[in-house]
Amino acid sequence: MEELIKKLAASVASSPDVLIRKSDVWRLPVVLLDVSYDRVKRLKMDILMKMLLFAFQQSEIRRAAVLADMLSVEELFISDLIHKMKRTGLIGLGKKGYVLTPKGYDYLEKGIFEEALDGGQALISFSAAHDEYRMVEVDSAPVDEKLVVYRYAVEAEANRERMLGLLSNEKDAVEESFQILVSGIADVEELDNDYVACIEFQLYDQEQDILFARIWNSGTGEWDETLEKQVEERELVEWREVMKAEKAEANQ
Amino acid sequence: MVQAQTNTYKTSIRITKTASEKMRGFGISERSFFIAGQPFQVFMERYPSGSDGSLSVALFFGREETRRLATDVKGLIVLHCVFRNHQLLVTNVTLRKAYQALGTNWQREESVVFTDSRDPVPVAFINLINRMTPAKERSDYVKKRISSWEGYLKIQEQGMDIPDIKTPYSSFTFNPDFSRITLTGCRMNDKEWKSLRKLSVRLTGIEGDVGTVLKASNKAVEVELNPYIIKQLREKGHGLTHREVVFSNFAALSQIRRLRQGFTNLEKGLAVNPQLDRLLFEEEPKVAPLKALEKLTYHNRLNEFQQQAVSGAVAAEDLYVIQGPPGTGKTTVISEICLQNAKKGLRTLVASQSNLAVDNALGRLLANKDIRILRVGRTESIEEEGKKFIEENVGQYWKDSTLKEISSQYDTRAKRETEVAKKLAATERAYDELQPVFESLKKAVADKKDAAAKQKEIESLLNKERQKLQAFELQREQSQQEERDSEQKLETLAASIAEDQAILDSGKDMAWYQHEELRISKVIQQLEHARRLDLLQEETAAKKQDIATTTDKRGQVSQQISGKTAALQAIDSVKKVDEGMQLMAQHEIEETTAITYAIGKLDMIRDKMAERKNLEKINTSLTAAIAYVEKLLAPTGVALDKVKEDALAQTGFFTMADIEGFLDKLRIFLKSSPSIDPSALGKALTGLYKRQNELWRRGAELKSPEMYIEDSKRSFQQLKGAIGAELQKQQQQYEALDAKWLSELERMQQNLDVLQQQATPLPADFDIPPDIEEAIHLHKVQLAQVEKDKVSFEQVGQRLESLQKEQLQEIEALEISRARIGEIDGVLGQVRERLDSMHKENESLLEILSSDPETDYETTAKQLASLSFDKESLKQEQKSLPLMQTIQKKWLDLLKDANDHDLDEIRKLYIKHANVIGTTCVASARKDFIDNYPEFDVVIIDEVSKATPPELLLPMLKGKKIILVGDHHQLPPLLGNDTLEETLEEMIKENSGFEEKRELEKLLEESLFERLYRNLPESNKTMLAIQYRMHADIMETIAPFYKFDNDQLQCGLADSDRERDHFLESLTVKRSNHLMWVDLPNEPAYFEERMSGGKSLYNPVELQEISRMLVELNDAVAEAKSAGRIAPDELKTVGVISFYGEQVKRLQRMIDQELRLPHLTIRTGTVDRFQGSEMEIILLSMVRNNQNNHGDIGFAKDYRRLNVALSRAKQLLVLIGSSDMFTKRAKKEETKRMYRHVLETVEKKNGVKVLQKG
Repeated sequence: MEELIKKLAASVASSPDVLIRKSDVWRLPVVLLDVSYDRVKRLKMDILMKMLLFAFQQSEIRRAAVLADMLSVEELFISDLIHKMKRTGLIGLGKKGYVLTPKGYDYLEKGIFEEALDGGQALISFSAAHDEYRMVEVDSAPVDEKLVVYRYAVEAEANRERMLGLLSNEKDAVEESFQILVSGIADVEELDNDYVACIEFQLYDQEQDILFARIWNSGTGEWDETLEKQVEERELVEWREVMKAEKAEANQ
Repeated sequence: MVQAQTNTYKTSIRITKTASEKMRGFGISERSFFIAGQPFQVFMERYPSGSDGSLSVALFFGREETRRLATDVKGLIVLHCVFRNHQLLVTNVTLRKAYQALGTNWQREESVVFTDSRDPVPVAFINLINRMTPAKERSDYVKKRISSWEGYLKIQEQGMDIPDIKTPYSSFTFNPDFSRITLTGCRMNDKEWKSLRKLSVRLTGIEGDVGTVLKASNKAVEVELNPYIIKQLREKGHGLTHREVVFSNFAALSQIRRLRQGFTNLEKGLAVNPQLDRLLFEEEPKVAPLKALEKLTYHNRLNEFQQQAVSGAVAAEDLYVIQGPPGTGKTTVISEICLQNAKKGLRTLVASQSNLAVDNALGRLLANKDIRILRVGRTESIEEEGKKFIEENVGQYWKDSTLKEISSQYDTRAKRETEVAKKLAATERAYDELQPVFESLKKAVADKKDAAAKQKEIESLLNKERQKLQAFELQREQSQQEERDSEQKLETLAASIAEDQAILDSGKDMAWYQHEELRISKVIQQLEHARRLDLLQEETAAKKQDIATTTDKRGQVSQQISGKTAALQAIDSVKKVDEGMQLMAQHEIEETTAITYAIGKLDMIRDKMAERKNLEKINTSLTAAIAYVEKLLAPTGVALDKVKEDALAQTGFFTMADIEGFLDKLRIFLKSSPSIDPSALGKALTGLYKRQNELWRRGAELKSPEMYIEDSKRSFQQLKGAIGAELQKQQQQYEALDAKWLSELERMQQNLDVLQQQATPLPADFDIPPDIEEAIHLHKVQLAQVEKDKVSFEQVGQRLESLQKEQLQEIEALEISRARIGEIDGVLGQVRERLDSMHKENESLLEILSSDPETDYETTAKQLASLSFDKESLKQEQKSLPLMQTIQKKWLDLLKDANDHDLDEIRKLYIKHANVIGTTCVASARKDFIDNYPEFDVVIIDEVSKATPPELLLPMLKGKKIILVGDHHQLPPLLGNDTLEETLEEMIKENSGFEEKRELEKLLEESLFERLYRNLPESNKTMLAIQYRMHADIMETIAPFYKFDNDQLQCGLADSDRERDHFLESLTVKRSNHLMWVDLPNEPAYFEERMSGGKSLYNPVELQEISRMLVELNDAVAEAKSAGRIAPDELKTVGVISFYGEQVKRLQRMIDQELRLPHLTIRTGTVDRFQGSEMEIILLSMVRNNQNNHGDIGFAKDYRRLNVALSRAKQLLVLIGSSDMFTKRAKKEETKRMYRHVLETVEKKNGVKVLQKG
């Protein structure tokens, strides 16, 4: 840790104009969630085609324009698709409108059919300060419990929708004509509060007379803009006053 | 680009030997041109005419057509031809590289059949080529015009031609807000150091360009980071181990290359719109007339100007320009045009100079299923607004908007179900209620129809009766007229009778009249005599005078006569001719023939007598001489007779002078010689004889003297006789004259006697009136009257009798007339009665007719029909609702669950059918873009005035129709970080070419947009004149900038105070303030300052004042929130702007470092960077404040910059600066006037606050 701090300090103060006025290490609370999710396997099938098959099955439609109005989809798209479906023998033109061929019925059925797969489990870390969800690997090094907690930490409830979104992004997969999808969250278990160590520098650019913060987030391994902004927004004016006072003192 | 082909031309061609050889060389078979008469698709390009004026053309064969001519040839065949002797002669054949463009605007594609006949080329084919402009002319034209744009490229090309620079660096630091990185320890040479500015930067270990070099000094390179790279740097920055940097010019160079390619394409005629060059460069662009349009249905709410702009842009064929002052809804117009185009199935390119502008425009397009927006460009440089339209996101975008639309339809329909039921019930009830009303109206209409028929009948009866009435009335009138006539006649008769009676009773009888007649006649006679008497006396006097004159004349004549008598007596005694002549002269006697003859004869006689005397004298001398000679000869014995005989045998003619001369000579001879030779003497004697003989002969011819005297006497007597005869003649003439006068005198005397006789005097008692004429006239009248009276007196008795008879007849007639009138009156009464009753009946019918049940009937019928229709459609809806709901529910579910894979097909369809493509001007010339989108039906370019012409050209090349949107009263393009003025001034200084310099200056004066806007016809341009951004007070400050345009800028806010209320109350700012000027004194304590070593200016007092203002505003928002005027979570947007970059930098630092303003969202920027943005509140720091002599206010003098600065604020604009500096010290009068208007407006709105320091 010490080494990291040194290295970071060297980096932030590499310009001769920049002075480190203060540096600090503290911990940012994050929530670690053990999420179990469901998965399904289904035919890779275009949404609009599925809808058209469904609509032709339900009612008598002859003209693309009617469907375009119903579905609020550009007629061109529908005409294109109808053409394609006719060509591949999924539908045909009956007396009162388009009808599904046996192949069409078969296809629609397959399209609707979803095969449940074994679920999965994942660790998600939620930082309320960032309002951000991230997949994490198991067991990062524990953070020193003696460190102070981030002074602007907030508490918030984790949101299942967002977690599902994250999981979909991360875990959805495609296998030839099938796709494997995260279909829902089965269970969320909130593990103990976890912490991420952060290294904060209070800096002063003498040349430009600018005070600013740099905060290294060891969880993400980056200079954390969100946290920097949070701190600066609240403390910058204060810092300046302190500095002014110091200068005044020094001048006396 | 490719002309529509209507027909195939058939032409013979002939090939020169050179061409033939070349064809063989290329492996082209000549015969293949003529095979089967199959047409070739050739591109024809007219060449400039040859020196002999011959028409010259090149025929280009495409890939397919080339293959027909030669199987194995690299490139495309070009035939170079001229027309010679009505033949198309191929003079040369060349090959052209396959990738070079065919079908440029300078070429025509035609279908041609070649024959090898000797037929002349068809005229239509020659005309076709003749009508083309030679390609070279067109491209030279473009080249010449476009050279004026070179300036822009030259500016950008300065110092560009440098290879990549690769160097290690030792360390780097980020600036506080991570917007820049500074590299130190680079190893480069001086030249490299100098060329770094504006190069793009790559760092080993970081993907993509990190940014561009801002400045390179003090062995450090400061790089402005690309926003999208920052996240990467925050993460990877500290871990960069391989410290190596590459500076490259590639991006900028390729950009310029694209701009140049645009020039070349225009030159080559590769614009989609073949007239593009003309539209761009002609002083007055010849735009095609607008298409006629059916009325458009708008999907946005548009004001009149916006509607005009949209309909104009849709109707225009090639070019339309929209001038959009700040806040006038340009984007709405663009959105509407895109939608209108989409509905027509047209594809639109929306281009702009900057990515931000493109994204702004796309972001505000209406979400509509007909519009498929696609944002094309480098993903990392696309702003948030545009991100959803990039290829990988359009599926999601489509899903989101469809989902939104379907959800709202679904929800509405859910509510609709009960609504429909309710409505259906209500409709059915209304229908049932209306039905009986309808029936009764139906009956009323039928009744009215009957009434109409009846009324028609009555009307005809009425007419008949009326005619009768009229006839009787006419009769009555006639009778009355007769009655009146009789009465009048009787009156006249009575008068006449009375008159005649009076005459009879007057007591005058016939004798009285006769006497009276006589008396008056006599008076008239006397009067006439009196009138004549005067005249007679005058005449008598005249006659007497004439008599006297004539008598006198007679006296003279008798004198003459006695003169002549005396002369006649005298003539007997005349003895000499001379006396006779004298007498003739005295009496003026003409020389008559007889007189002349007598005188002539007398003269002749006198001559003869003189001759005789002469002969006698010479004869004497001759005789004496002969005698003398004879005497001399006698002794000699010469026979004298013989001599005489010989001499007389010889004849001769001698004049008297000869004879005298001979005698004289002889005398001298004889005297001189004492002894004379007898022969000589003989000779002399012969001569003498001869001459004597002659003399005697002559003497014999003359008469004797006595006879001559006798003749003379006779002739003289004759002369006297002739004169006497003449005198006698004269005497006779005078005697005749005398006789004439005598008879004249006698006649006159006679006349005089008559006159004297006539002039007998009037009787003594006759009184002559002064005016005789008048008196005569009066008496004649009197006489006529008496004569007339006499006649009437004679007739009166008889007439009286007839008059009285007539009177009796007339009285009878009168009575008859009166009786008839009575009769007619009776009949009339009956007719009138009948008419009355008919009228009454008619009126009641008319009343029925005047009612209007039809309108009600029709309305009700319509209502009923519409109710019935509603009923049916509601029933239909009720029936179809569940189906719609099921389908849409299914659709909703599918959409909600859809992931990227499900949307893949849609995404592809969307991209395939995308009809609104957004990209930057320069990106529109990227190769992949050109490949995917070679042309557009419509190209809309936004913020045109911010782009340079070369940039604008790139999207323009791609459009059939071009729509330009901009505002030339806002700032022109920036080149790099410099304004156009600054850069161009520099260019002009360097450039020596006169023409280019002038062109560059022209660039400064006027933008392409401005020129097009000014010169296009009204039909092809619109100014959006209603702004919705600014409070009316703020708008007033910029109004003058638009006052020379067709339409004045208007405020579209119905109530500015309400709609642009800032809700703030503070010490300085009141609720009513929307426009303010915090005025700094023009004194040293408030002056501008200059960065040491820099050129940019700042103003510390203004910084302080702005700091104070911001705090005050922040507090005011807090107060407004606690007072409930502003929502608790709302932040006021504030823009703090300045003309100077340095001031902006300091403002930003101050805001970041020294102020905490939780109730405000603040953005800072230069005025130039703020163009296109709007804020609720704007603070403008004007910086300039000095007392320099030249009163320079720098950037602030450009009205366009001021316009942009003033037009950013919606609710409140505060200027912070010295009003004296800008309104009084500024150098130019127009600048002062411009700022004075601003100040005066602020004063009018009570917004001036004078800054008091301390």
